[in-house]
Amino acid sequence: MSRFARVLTLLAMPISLWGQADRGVAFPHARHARLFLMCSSCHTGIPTGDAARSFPPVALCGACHDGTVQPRVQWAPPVRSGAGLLVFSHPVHLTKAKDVTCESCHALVDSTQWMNVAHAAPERCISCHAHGASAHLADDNVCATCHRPLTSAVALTDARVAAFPKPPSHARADFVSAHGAAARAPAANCATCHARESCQRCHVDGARAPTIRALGNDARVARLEVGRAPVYPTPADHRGSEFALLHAKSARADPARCSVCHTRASCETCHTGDGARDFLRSIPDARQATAPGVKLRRATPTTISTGPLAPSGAVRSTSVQQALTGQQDTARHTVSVHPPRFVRTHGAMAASGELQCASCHAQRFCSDCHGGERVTRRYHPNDFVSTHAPQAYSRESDCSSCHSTEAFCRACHRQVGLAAKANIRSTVFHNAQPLWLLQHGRAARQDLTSCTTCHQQTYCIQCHSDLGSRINPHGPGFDAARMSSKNPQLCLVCHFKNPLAK
Amino acid sequence: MKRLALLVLALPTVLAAQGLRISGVTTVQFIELRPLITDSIDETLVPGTGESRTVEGGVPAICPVTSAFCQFERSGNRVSAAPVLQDITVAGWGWVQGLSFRGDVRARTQLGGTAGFLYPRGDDHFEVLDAYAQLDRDAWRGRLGRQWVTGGLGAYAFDGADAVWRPNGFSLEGWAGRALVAGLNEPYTSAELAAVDNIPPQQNGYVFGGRARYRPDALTAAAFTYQRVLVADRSGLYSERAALDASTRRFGAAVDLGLVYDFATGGWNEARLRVGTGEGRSLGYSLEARHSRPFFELWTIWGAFSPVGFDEVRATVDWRPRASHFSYSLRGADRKYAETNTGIDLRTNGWRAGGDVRWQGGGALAASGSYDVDIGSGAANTDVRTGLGWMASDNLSFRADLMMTQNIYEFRIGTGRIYGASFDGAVRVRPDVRLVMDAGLYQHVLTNGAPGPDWTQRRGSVRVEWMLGQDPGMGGKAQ
Repeated sequence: MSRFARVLTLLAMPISLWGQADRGVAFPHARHARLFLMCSSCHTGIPTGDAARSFPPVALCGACHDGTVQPRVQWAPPVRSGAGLLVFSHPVHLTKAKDVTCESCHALVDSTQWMNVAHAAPERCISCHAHGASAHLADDNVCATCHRPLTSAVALTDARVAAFPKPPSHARADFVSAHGAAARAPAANCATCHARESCQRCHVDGARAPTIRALGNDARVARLEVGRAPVYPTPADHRGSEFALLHAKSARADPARCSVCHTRASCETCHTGDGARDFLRSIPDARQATAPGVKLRRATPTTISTGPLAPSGAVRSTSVQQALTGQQDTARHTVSVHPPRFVRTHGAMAASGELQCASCHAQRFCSDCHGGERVTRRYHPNDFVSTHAPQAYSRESDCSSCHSTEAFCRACHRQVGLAAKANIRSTVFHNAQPLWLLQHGRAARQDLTSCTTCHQQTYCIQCHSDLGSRINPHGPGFDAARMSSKNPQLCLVCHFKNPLAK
Repeated sequence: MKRLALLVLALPTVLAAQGLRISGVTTVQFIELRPLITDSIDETLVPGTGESRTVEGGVPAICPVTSAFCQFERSGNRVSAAPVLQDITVAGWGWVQGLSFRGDVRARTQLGGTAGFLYPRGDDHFEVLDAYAQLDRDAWRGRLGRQWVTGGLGAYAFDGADAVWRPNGFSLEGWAGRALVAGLNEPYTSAELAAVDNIPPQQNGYVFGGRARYRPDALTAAAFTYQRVLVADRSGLYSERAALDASTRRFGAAVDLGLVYDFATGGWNEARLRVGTGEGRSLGYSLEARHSRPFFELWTIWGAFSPVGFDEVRATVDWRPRASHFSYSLRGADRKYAETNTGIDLRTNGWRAGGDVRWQGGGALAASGSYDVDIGSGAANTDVRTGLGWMASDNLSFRADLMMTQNIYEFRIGTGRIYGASFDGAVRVRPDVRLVMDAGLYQHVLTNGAPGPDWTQRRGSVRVEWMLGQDPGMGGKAQ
């Protein structure tokens, strides 16, 4: 501590001690104890409620403090520019409570000395008014008994508001997440210390939540809240791994609860589709929101390449990472949206509409895979080109659900030299099997799709058509009439004329 | 030009949007392999007689009687390619309630490399994946433009209109327009299709489809879909199919049904019934019965070749003990093909089995190991994998994998083993920028010197995912 600071501290000490002794009452009552025998000598207006005469005139001081008898003093009665926080009537108390005297409230508890007084401590009030309340700032107290709402206490300065004591309950770890019920209770005490702006720092729905709207606006609170970061603790039921999948039911049951922390933009982080549109309209639009709200970020869907490890050939489910962004981050956790192997089993659920895919996914999400050309590698592992043959033959992954076998598979097979050449005689047979041409019939009927990834139609027509060897490729169950009725031109690819035509 | 015109027409609307979001994925890949090439050798240097012989090392060769040379295939020189893909997504909304626009485009090119356009469609430099306007109201929704319809029949893109009417629990949808080839997203008469098939469709197709869905509650739903693709001159159809899909999640069980019927051949393409436990169980299982037969559109002759299907039974078991870092999975399938009536003795069944163990550490580490065997009529292999991943933070992750695949046999490629190692990494540079990269080496070793090509490959990719703009009103403001 510097010398200058020490001097300042020493100078300030007597002032501080004097202030403590008088408990904030500027007039030193105790030093005038022998001078005044009754409170009403000076405070003549108190019993009647006459505010103008609640304090003595300055001239009364000057009767003694005239510079001769006593030094002159500077004192002025307090000026009330408006209502304070306290709702109190001296006349009512003096009238209704016959045994109440000035000392009942203003005498210091530890003193019996005349005029050793101070402002009335709240504990004195609750000794009569809040039966059973454990303390002034306890939850079980009813503030409105003695206090008016902050928004009505226009006499208070910003500093006074900022200096309000913090109730012990507000320091509890779960207070932020659990205060809603207490705030909505009929006997809620919030309005004594808070205005709408207090809530709107965090509450997205501050403009329309009845409890918050009831508080009213207050410029002092607005000034005090500027720059304070919102707090969004993660509710316990949000922490389960299935929450992302199952939250629809609870959300629809109580949209107002979601609207406390989430804007529509928050939902639209995942719900980019149409399915949840009706529900999302009940969530505040971020443009009208009174607070930033929880900002979700959709993690890049986990992939073979980048996500946590997945079993061979399988792909992890899409996940949503509830990581908040920016300086207002207050919670984060990751949840899985879909179960394992979902990427391979989603077909029926998606097609039936049981899963409302459009709630979260745009069309692009589906076409990203089913469009035939993937760039983000969510489905196949990196080495799939080396290992895809068995899956293709068995249709374990139905290649044609995403790829055009002609354009995608055949083009690639042609580039790497696998695709069949135009002339049968110019092509080396399948894997060193010299009699393959005689064996290929069963293989072709069992896995014809695989054949088409290398062979063009003209390759087979060389033998299986009127143009070639006229080897009949139709099986016993072939319904020529049915197929011809759907596309008569098809027959003419191989036949000189439609064999069904009369 | 038509594609550009689509975008230009939409541009003023997009720019006037109250909300606009542009996102993109830039991908650069590297692929290196040795393609198969056809070589020839003097017929007198090849032992044996007849057309089918083997050259030195057992490599099969064709020795036509009319030629003095035998032909065989071998691995050519190593070639590489570095395709670059740029995907751009533009979404705008906010003019009137429910009105929005969305466009997805893709550009392709190639950096250097010696293999030409090794990547599929590498010479197709620009593609509009979708571009549509949407008006979405409570009971109905309309879309106009290039769009997708997804359902039991798969995913189809088309240029046209789609309308949905959806009173509570029920919806009716219809769509129509110029059809695009599934999995290609180009018109039937496109150059992309003509480049790979010398009997391509001569006319465009027009798609007409409809769907009815019933969803009495969040746990049960069913949908019926019908779609036909008409040849432009109305002389016939390219396809006509219907699908029925149903799902329920009641009483702790999950039941899924999927049926797809092809009117052209009068047969079922797919029929699946899957029964399993609901999600979130420590011990879960599923049992599935499936019939599958390939589907071919009627611009190809393949459907007339009477392809047969197979019947398959699948089962999975997943066990994740409570309060354990480990989880275990087993899976298996057995299938049998229908009679082909070809009189040829060839394998008519197949089976598949596998399992894996996963370990998720309490921290950021995870590991897994798996073994799979797949025996089928066209190919068979076994596959062993293990890997270790580390998620250093939400913004940074790494992963390393080792794999070994034994190619037991295959119709086209020689038997052998592939040993592979790969590395992946991802870093989120900013909240709206993410960098992903991977590299892998896959070494092909032929079994005991068996004849075949060398499929040793090196692959890698770098991907940047980025986004501009925000969701509407994101951020809020104090009032």
